[in-house]
Amino acid sequence: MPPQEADKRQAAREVIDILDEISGLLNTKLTRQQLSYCVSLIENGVNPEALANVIQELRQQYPDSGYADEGGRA
Amino acid sequence: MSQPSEERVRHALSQLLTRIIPVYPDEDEAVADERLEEALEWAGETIARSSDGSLPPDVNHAADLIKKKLIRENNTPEKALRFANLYSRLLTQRVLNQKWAMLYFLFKLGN
Repeated sequence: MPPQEADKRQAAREVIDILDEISGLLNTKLTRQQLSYCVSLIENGVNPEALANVIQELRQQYPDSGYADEGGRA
Repeated sequence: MSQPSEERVRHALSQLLTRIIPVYPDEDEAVADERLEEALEWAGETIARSSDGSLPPDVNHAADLIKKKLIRENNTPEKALRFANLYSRLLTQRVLNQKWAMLYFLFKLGN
């Protein structure tokens, strides 16, 4: 793997580390994996408020979604 | 939104919802798939409707909202100080472009 690619991956991991800790401070209950997909969505132009509303709405609709943590699907 | 961006959004949204929408034991797979499809369609429409929303692009605004919340909701300033440190580290990260939007998203979701 070229050095720049490795650096970029390291930087991306550090960003997720930072955001994951901020996410914990704010008690968002996002797993690290879920957070990573949210970063991708927002980096690609999705409205942050709309995404937050979608997640909160789905959590209300499926309160016991403990089955769906870290890829509840096969 | 450009074509590649749309595809990345569709993929990330699908992966995200797969980790939010439950699959109940002993359930018919078709029922589970339909639940996910319906949620994906609704979420996609909700996001598409808001894609032109104008929001203040000031990264400090979101950080201030978070600092005030952490001070208000905690007896000690420890969490607010911890956030201040994380925030200054985040500002140095070049790979993340939408810093303000991410902070604002976490602030909104944490409410």
